[in-house]
Amino acid sequence: MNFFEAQDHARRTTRWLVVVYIIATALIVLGVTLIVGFTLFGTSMDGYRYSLTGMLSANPAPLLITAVATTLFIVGASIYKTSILSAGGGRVAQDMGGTLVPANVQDPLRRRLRNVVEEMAIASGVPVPEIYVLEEESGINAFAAGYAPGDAAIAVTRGTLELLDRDELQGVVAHEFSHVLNGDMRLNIRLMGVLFGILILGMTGRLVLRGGHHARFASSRRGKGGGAIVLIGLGLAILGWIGVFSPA
Amino acid sequence: MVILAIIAAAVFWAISIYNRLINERNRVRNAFAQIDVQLTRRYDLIPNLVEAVKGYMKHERETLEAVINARNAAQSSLNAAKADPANAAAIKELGASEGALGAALGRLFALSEAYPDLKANQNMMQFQEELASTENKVAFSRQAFNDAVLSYNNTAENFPNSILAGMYRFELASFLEIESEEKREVPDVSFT
Repeated sequence: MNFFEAQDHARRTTRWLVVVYIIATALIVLGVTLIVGFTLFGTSMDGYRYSLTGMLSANPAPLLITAVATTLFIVGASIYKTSILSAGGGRVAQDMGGTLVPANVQDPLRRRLRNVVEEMAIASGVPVPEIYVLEEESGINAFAAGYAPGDAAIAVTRGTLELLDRDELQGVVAHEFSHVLNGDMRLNIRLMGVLFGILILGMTGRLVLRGGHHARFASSRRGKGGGAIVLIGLGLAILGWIGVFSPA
Repeated sequence: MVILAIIAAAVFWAISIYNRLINERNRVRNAFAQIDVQLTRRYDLIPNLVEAVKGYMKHERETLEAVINARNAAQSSLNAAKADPANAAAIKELGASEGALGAALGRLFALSEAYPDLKANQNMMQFQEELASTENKVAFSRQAFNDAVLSYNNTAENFPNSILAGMYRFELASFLEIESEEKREVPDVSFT
């Protein structure tokens, strides 16, 4: 296996997957536009149902407005989520239950972890990140968090600290450093932001679904309008569900 | 008119090459400063290590003295190299003394295997961890230093930069190579 070839291949694959992710998001916006714009507003003044092409030529405003509104909605939600996640790697590590390992720690295992992290910092040219230990976890796991190398944090589980020898620990820490160095965290935060937006869309759909359901029972005269609302809610919920699974 | 333009271009070229050589040489010096930090820490750890070990290894005086002497020799090589890290001879000297120190320490640790009380001693274990970590840090700073040396040598040796380098006495720097016995046996690893 050629190491640098493998690196290039991984980078190319990542770029391609990001493109696919963007296309999927665009398709979701399209889906919402069709479902909401077309279903809700697809009836002309004199009560007759447009076809899609008919609507595009005669009355495209609702479709355009829906498309723009959906995009703004997803962008707004993702900016919100991104700013929360960018609060610094340390915050994320603490939220996950991590305990900070200070620079002057004396406990032998944590001292070893500290030393290994400092070695990797020299080797990679990245400043030393904050180090956290997930005390409650006895399995072997680790993660890196933060928006940029300047505010990065890495965390390992207590199991990692106790079960791995020095070389193995170095391997795990080096792996996490590669995430820091390659901007994987920043990419992840952005992807998660967009995913959050899509999720909110799906949740809105589910809420509408529930609302429409109750409205139908409450007044049967509004049956026809209620049916449309249910369909929209169902459509949004399904789109949200697809949106959650397609990135995975 | 054309001749003036050519001369001006040549002067600009010479200035930019000169500045580049200066930048690269400074990067070599900066990279060396990082190694200096780690090596100094190593040299400071060693007398403490010997003190901790002395009580247990009363009959191994020669080995302990060998370690102290090697450490002192390495420290003076470091001071010489610090004065001018771009000086090839000083760096080679440092590489040699570091190698000797590594060998002496290796013998000390091999001997300590025969003293189970010493091995179990908390202090000793801490020292071993700190020394292992410091050696790793030296190794990584050395990699960064050697990268800076490569870049500087390339800039200085490429033609036509070499003309300017010769005129202003930019000498080629030397890689910091530390001989260690383990390095000769490279295990065969395949990822297929």
